[in-house]
Amino acid sequence: MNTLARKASLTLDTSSSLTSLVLDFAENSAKAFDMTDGDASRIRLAGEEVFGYLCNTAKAGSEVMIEALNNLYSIEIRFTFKTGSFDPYAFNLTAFVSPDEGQTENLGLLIASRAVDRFSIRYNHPHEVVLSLVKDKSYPQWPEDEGRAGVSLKDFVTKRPDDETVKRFVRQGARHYTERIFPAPFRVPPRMVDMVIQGDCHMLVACGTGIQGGEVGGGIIWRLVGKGMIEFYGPYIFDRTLGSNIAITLIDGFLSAIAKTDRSGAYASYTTDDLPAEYFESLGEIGYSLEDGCKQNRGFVYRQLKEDAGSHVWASRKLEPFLHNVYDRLFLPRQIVSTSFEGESRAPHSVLSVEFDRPHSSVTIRPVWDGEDYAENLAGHVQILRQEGLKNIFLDLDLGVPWQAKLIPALFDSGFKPVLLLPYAGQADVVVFQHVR
Amino acid sequence: MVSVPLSDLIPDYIKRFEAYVPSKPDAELMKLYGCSRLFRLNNNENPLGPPPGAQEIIRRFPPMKASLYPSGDVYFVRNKLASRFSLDPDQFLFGNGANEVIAFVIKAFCQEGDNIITADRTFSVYEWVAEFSGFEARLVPIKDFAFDDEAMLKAIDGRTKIIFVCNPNNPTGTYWNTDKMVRFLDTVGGRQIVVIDEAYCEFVSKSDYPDGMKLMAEYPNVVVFRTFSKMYGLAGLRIGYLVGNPEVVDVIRRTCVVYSVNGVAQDAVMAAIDDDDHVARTRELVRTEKTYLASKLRALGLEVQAAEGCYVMVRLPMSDTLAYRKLMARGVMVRSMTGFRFPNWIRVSIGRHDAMKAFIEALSAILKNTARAPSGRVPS
Repeated sequence: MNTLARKASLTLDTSSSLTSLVLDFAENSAKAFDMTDGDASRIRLAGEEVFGYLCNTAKAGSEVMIEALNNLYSIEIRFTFKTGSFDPYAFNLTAFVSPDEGQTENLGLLIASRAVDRFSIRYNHPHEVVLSLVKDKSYPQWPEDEGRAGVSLKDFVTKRPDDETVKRFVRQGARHYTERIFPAPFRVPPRMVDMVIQGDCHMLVACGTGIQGGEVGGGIIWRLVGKGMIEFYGPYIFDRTLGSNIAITLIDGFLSAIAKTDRSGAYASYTTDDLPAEYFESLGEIGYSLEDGCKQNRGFVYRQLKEDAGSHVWASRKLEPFLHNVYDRLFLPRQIVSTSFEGESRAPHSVLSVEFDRPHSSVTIRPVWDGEDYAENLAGHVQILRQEGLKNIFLDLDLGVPWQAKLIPALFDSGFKPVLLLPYAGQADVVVFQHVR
Repeated sequence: MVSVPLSDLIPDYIKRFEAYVPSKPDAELMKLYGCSRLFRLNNNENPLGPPPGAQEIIRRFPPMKASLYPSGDVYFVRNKLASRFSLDPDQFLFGNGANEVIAFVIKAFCQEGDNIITADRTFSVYEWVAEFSGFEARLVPIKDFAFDDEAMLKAIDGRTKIIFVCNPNNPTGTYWNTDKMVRFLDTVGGRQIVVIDEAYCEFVSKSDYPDGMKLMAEYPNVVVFRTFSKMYGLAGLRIGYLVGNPEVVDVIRRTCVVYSVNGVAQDAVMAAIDDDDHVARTRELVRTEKTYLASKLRALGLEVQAAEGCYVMVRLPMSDTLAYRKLMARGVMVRSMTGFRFPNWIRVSIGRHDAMKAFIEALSAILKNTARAPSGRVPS
């Protein structure tokens, strides 16, 4: 049986004599995982630069494990190594290093970070670092007008879709809704099939019965976020006659599907007018500036799945009035624990990750790594993003991570203000800050 | 320090399984939610507490007896129950609450590749124990709030070992009458073990309600679960049991953990078993307060599912987990039902009148403050 290859791994010494082995491994894995030649070359380049960095900075005799993971719609190259001196500065959007400044190692990381679509860095106490580079797979173009104009079902059932039904649903979704409601990553039918098979996206659809069994009247999409949250999208309704029935049945089915998972709640901002309001609570709204200069408020709805047993969150005093207000309004039992920098040592360089949402002209920054230059780094990001023409700059701060809570005063000083709280969206609640000047 | 290769050690079915996290202690919850008193209407506990005789036993339990192991197989209680129900003492097996005996049965009969069948919206522990033991739990959707006998029979295959029927069902309160149960058992034809969970049987006074213990004579594949946590008010002491055909019980005994029922529980049960007056008083309280509660809830325009058992379900025009938080802030703890796959429903245990009144007042205030919004608009 010809089964799909999903993983390859290599463990080796950080010795430059093994570089060609790493290059071949990265490139050939990418090709084996169905990436295009161009994308495989980029993966090869990223692998070369990271491995070069490790060879230059690691102690003699140290090891690195390199894994190539086939996520179907993307490839992930994961480096796991032990170090006491990893400087991830170059992974910042703002990073610019030159060999003249004696930072040749960081130049390699900079090249690696630009060769892929996303990255993450995880630090496992005491000295293990896991660096993941992700490159998305390219899909052929598909004609957008293939979805049917309208659907009229006599009756319907909800179910987890097969591959062809996923594609039919996506085509209908792309036809009926704009990117502001049916987001860009979900608009490519074969990519969505791969995301569902990979388990990174879940879907429930309403299909016709009998002779109409191939018709899709609506659906709902969800994905896991962080350790305890689900983000859902929809319900998308293509059959206006059965609309509210389909919407309620989809929401009931969705909630039943996630009720017994380890997730504590679900939220959405990509909702439709068919969302049955009584199932959700409002977290608030965020005001967006649109490309044409108009303003638009976007509501966030939330549904807790479990009885809230309360928790503690880390915060600095400046954020406490906002938190008290939100926790009182949402009846969320929380103990706020204050924290701040008190002269303890910090790494020299911080890292921020950036996720773009072009249809909303918005971008979300997330702290990845703390460092002394955090305020300066953040200001640099804001400047570059403004220059890029992005009108909405957000920063997600996880109140379950003490070092992130210590960054709050610098956030206020940099012109950010808290606008929304997502319960349990990270290790604890996540506060969304918006840049306002 | 060596690192533990957990991903290599953990079976896949454990990786998939989510641990159940019980509520925090009342004092912690009251502090977190800022309430000065708390009515516990979430666990179907008996508001009258244990029978007076059992209370006296607990009060006078000799401290020195705590240093002695209890009877390992709950000897005296088994004999007393056997006499009460005209069965053999060896037909009874005890556990640390009825939850434990669920595990005994599943471990005794299931092996890799086997499955159990129950309903999708019932007491969750059958499903949990099967899944974290590596067996498939086939969950058959309930129909009109009741176990769907036809669909359950269709779900049976050659690897089905046990069928769990919660009678009356927790949380819907529906039950199979004697005719339906007999028809079901006839069709099963003894090929699977049929567990009839009668945790709430003492609250049912309907004449057509079947007595599982009597059915065992004709259907040796029937195993009955009962508990002292509900009607007998001994939930805090954790004692429940199963009863079945001697040959079946002999098999289950091999997976039974002995010495898991403590001495206080055994002594208290001895004093509780014959207190029929306590049963009558509890039934009367539940009947009166359930009628009051259902009528008040219906007057609020809410859909109510009030059948057998010491609880009712009510559908809210809002998220049940939000209602839970708002009720907690007003000092009333109920069970939100999303976890039972009943989104927007809550289950309310029947309590004393002051608790029922407090719940109705709190819920009325919450609903009054909940603005109704058109579809697509969530009230803030």
